[in-house]
Amino acid sequence: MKFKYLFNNKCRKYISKNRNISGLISVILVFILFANNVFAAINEDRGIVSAEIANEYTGRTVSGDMITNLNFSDVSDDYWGKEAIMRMGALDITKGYVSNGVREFRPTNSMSKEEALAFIMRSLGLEEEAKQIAEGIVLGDGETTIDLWSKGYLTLASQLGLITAAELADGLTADQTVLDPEFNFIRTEPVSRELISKWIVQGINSQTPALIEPIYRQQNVLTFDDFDEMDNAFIPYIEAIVEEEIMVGDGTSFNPKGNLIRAEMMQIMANMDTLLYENMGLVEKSGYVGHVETEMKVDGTGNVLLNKVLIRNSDGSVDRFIKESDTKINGVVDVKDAVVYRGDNIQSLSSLLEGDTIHYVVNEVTDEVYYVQVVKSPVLYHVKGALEPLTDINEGKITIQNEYGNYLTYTMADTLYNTNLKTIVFDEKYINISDAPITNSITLTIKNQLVTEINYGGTLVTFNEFSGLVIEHNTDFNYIRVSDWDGNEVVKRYIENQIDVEKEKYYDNEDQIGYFDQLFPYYGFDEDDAHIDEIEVGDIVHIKLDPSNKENILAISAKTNYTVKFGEILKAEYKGDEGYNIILKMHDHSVVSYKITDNIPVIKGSKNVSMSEVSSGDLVRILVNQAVIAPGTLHEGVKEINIDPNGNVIEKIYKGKLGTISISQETISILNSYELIQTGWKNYTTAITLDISKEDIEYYHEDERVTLAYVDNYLRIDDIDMYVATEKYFDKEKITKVTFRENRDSVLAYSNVTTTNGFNELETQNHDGTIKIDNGTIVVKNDKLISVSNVMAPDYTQVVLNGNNQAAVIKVKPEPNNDSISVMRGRIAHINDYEDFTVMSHALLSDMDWIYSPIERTYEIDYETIIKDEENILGINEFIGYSDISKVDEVYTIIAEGVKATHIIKGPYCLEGVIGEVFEVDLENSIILLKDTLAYDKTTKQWNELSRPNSYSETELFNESIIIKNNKVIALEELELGDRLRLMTNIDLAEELKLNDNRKFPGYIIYVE
Amino acid sequence: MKGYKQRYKHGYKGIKTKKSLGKKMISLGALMVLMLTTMLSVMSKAYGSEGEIGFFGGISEGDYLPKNIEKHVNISDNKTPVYAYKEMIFISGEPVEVTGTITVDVEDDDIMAASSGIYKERYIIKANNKANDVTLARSLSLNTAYWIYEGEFKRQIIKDSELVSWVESITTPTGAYSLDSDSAIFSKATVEDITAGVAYYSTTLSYSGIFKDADGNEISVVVENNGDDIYGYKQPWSKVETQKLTMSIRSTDLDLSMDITLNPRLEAKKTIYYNENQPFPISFGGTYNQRMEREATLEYEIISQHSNLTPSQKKNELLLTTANEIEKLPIPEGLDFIEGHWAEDDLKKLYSMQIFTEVPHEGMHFEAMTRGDFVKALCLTMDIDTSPYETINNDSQQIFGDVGFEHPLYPYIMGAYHAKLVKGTGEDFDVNVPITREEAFVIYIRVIGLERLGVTGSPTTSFIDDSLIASWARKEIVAGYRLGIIKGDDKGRVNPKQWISKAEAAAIINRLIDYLREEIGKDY
Repeated sequence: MKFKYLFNNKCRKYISKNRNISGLISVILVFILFANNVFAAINEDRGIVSAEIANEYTGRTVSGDMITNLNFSDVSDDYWGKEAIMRMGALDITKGYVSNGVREFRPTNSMSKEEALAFIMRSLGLEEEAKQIAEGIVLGDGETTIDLWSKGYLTLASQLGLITAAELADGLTADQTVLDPEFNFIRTEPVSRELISKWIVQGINSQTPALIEPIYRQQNVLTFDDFDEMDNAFIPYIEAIVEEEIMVGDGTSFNPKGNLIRAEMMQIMANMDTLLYENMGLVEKSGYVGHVETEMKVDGTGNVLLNKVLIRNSDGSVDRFIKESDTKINGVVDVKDAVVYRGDNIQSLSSLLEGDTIHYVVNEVTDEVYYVQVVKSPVLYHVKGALEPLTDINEGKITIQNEYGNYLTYTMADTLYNTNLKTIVFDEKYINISDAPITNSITLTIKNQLVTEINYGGTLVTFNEFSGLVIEHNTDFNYIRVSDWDGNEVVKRYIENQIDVEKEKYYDNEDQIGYFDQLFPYYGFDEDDAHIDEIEVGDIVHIKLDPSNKENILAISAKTNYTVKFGEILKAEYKGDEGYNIILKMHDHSVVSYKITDNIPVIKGSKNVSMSEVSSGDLVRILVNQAVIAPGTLHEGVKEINIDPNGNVIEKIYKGKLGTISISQETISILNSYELIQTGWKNYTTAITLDISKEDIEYYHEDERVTLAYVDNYLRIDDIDMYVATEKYFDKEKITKVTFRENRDSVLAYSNVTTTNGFNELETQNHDGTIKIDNGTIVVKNDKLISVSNVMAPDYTQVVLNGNNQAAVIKVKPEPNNDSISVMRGRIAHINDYEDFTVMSHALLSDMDWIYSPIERTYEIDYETIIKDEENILGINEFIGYSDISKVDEVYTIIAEGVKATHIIKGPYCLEGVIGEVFEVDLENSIILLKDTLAYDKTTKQWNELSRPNSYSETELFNESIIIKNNKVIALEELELGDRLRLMTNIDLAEELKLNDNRKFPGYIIYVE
Repeated sequence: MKGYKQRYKHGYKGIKTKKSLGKKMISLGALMVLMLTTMLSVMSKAYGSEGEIGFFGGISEGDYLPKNIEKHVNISDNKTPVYAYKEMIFISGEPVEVTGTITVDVEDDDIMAASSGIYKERYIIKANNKANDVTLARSLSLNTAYWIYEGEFKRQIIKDSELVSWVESITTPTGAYSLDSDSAIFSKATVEDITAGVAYYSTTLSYSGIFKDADGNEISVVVENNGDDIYGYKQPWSKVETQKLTMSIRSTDLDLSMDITLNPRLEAKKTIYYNENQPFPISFGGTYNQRMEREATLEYEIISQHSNLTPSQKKNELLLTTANEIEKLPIPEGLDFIEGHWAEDDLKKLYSMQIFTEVPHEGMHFEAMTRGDFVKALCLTMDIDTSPYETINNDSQQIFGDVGFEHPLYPYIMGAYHAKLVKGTGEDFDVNVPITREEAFVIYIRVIGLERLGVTGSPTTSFIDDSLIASWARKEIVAGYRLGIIKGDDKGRVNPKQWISKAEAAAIINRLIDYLREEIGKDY
């Protein structure tokens, strides 16, 4: 029989719920008063927002843990004693057990006598007293202290007359096994229902006699069919306790000998509410929730999230609950909350809905709210959550997980589903149950506790996790503002050195480790591990929240979200500590400016270069981090610059007359064309055809931009010259700018710019007066077509004038300079394989003289050092100082940059010299044709014209020949027409011409000057 | 009537809603979308295939895009294409350019007829350099297996090629090299992502072989993608294929080791220009001409150290172009009322390209563009195949309540449906309802398949009237903004709820075509 009672659901009927000894009537009154207007008021109590707050109750720090701790695995949602257990938990009267990480209340465990007494003492507010007694127990003779938690409670119970002195003595006996259950008081034995009745009545009576006393005329007890099982001594107490509805039985039986279980004890305590509250200094109130709001405060010490709940209480005045989530800068989070019990769930204060009817327990002294019971939710309300699998559809149940992580199960109206057809109605349409959007956000409309409508919310939702785009990241105050996929802004905090951050770098293709880290922890190098500082505005983030504090981020997984843009650099300016500022012309010709900090990678071709290599005219592909902070506000930052090494490289500049235009083939022909070289116009051709397929070719007539059709129709004038700039396009060229000008052409040789106004005027050393520049002027610097503001003193410039002072073409190139490269001859003393070699003495070439020095010198070599003999190019592994190919004691010409030898060449000793201007290069036969040749006279140390009528000559290059231009050794094909050369040779060309009528000589060391 | 029956089988009521293009409806619609019994009965138009330039670091002229006239006259010659070809030969240690032909025989015409299968690919290259006495002969046969994966708004073709045979010989003055066929490995795998209007693909390539010279010296050649895949796309206005390859040549016998990066690229595009008539007394003012352009380019760089090579040997660029082909488009007639209007060019071009087909009439540029007409125009813009729906037979289906068999737009809406541009939800299409800007933008981005760039979900846009944009349109609008083809007005508004006039629709579509002609290829 005992077991039947313990597990029978009817158990609940032994004990009444919601019993209020003195407040019962008033609670009912509240209902009567509000029943008619509570729900009508839900949407109408606008006044509550502006009403004066009568009382403000803040949550308690301990409650946050309680909400978690009270989720007992063995107290199901529909357990009859759940409310009492939750309430007692919230009031600190009971706690559960944790075993193997599972929280249990063990509601059906029997309550021992000592526990029962302890609970009664506690509910009487005598806990402190019991504690003092326990500490003050004086030991008698032969007595030993026993380390017993309940000794204070037992002693106090005996003082109050609940147990006898003998029973107390039994209770304080250390070894309870020596006692006889028949006669002795065994403290760990279960307490029976009749015994607890006596203790409760005696206990309350001892404190407040007016509240309860034994009733000696039997009325209530007689209605129980097990009346005769009751011990006569207990009957008056049972009568009283039933009368006061603290315990009520199941209507037919009282089960007096049955053991009291823990859940029943909780219900008893709950039923003693008023008494209990009085003793604990608490007050129970009731009302309905009129308004809910949230406020976020961020300051230097942290942030505070306030959930404010306004309650119209039964007096008609307004109470306010405050849930405070205070996140300190050091990451410590204080949450002040209260336990909210709604139907079957334990939640936080922030779960209260407008329209909820509530009972709540507050401390009027400390103004704290302890416990809130939602007794009735609004008739019609909506709950939002993630749909759980529809496993109980046959019972008409639907379960969602709300944003606090609680699972809420509701019963659906039977029109919403059909178990035969296996369909369910979403958004007023039937869908298959198997197609239901599990884990997606849905909204349930609940009317009279029945789901009447299901609406699809759209986004994937799991409440401890959310994702979106970062719109603010404050590393000073450690918070991140995210715009989620529904467009809501969410602010969450993190603790800098506790947060777990993963971010895939934009240049990494994938997670090399390959697994979902959370599932397969990996302790090696994970390229995605990142610091929180790397989370930037615009990133796509997935955020995992701390389940015990939803304001706090536990982990972030992020990915960059970059956009690709193309543009042309108009200007790159160095701004000192701030890095660079670049101004770009975008594809649609809009002009934008970006700040470039030092750490931004710059890539040119396949190499990483520094920002200083970015120059005007470069075509770039940039990665931009684009983040929408708010509608209309865009935050942009450059993340990578990729320079197109072949883009916008000016190939040639032509001058000529307009010929034919073919639109279908996109070509234009130039008649009587010349090409601009260093010394002026050259390479006359009757007609050449050039490609005009490039987008946005600029056509100008003097200063004015015109269209191709205008050119075709109106610029075929006899006296008009066209200047054409072409850019390199693979191994061909395409026109990029064309300007028509009407005046006489003249070319100014290269010289330095002396002044410029940075806009439309400049002056050069070799021209009197100001040179004017207009929109049609072709300005080329370092082979890029640029705007004139990039030309500055002392740029080395060639100017083509059209008219007296109007520039048609301005071309800037580096001033020739071969100072940092030195040429010498030396005899090798020894070689360190692959590292360096030493010459015993050497002669340094200075102008035309070899200056001898007897000092040993050492030069470094590496795989880039080019080593040549008369026939071959030698590998560095052939340049050694031993075996039959030893190079020691041989004489080489050495080209060195500082101490590094770039070229080691077995060439003849050259004492003769020739100077000339290149007018043709024969690449096939390695011959350079020179004009204006001067030959060096060793004896007079003077340069003389080769011959008066025709000073042409040609030089042949051999394997051991080298050409040095602008401090670099270059290939023959890199020579330009018009280059002026100084050649070292071993033939006296003047003599040769005189004696053999030969103008050909070998060139060994060739300087471009 | 089969489709019609299906429509009501599950008891749909065909609730009339204007959201049938919206994301919300589509997501839910995905749950209940009708399963069609016939699939893949339509072939997608072929614009040439990947592989026109081969896979050997060389370039070919490739095919022109199909002309407009081919829509009206069947002029396909069924000949195996032979293209002019250029390649750099590195095996002797000295780069030499060879020119010749490549025969590309890919039997994938019927690929869409079945959801999986195998076809043959064959590449034959004959090229030489007379001046340097170098010849190249290469023949490669592959068997390519494929299967088709159906997605929500696109379908994918996954292809995997297996080597059947590879024969190759190279003669140079320094030696004659022939491939040891037993050593040859060739692996090529492609995914083609076929969106409503554009097919994008990416190919991973890896092959190697050992060549032997007359003395039996071995040279191994390994070619692989250089970090990136081979990428390409095809659509009616342009096509691009770009390859980034690395070639490693190794021979211990000949003491040769060389690493080369190669970037061959082929682009073909259609551009349009206007010819104004010179004679004054002529019945029309001028015509639009379509110009078929194509060019192949090759950049290479020898990245290993070779002191004997000149800078231009180590790194160079080649260009292979042919003359442009021209075709005349019909004269845009009856558009006098639009002379001088902002959208004159747009409207005339679209009429000339036969994308706008409505009989022109005074005041039409003020009229609202309907949803049906906008979809029709996009079908014509992207050459979406409507032929299977032009005749009604027993297999014909009705997907949208208000687009019955007899509806003049039936072939277009069904064509768009089959191309996965619009989704069938068993509801009305609202074919006669004016289209709003946001709806137009959503279809517009979906037709080029780039909604991915809007990032998942429905992000906040940078337009100041962001709050007006429906959640289902946000992703596409952000994608369009990032691509630069959706821009706000001068006040930064995108005006999502405004309906668009036919003049605006013409401008929007013409802008799309311009994007598809050139800009889309820029990052390839």
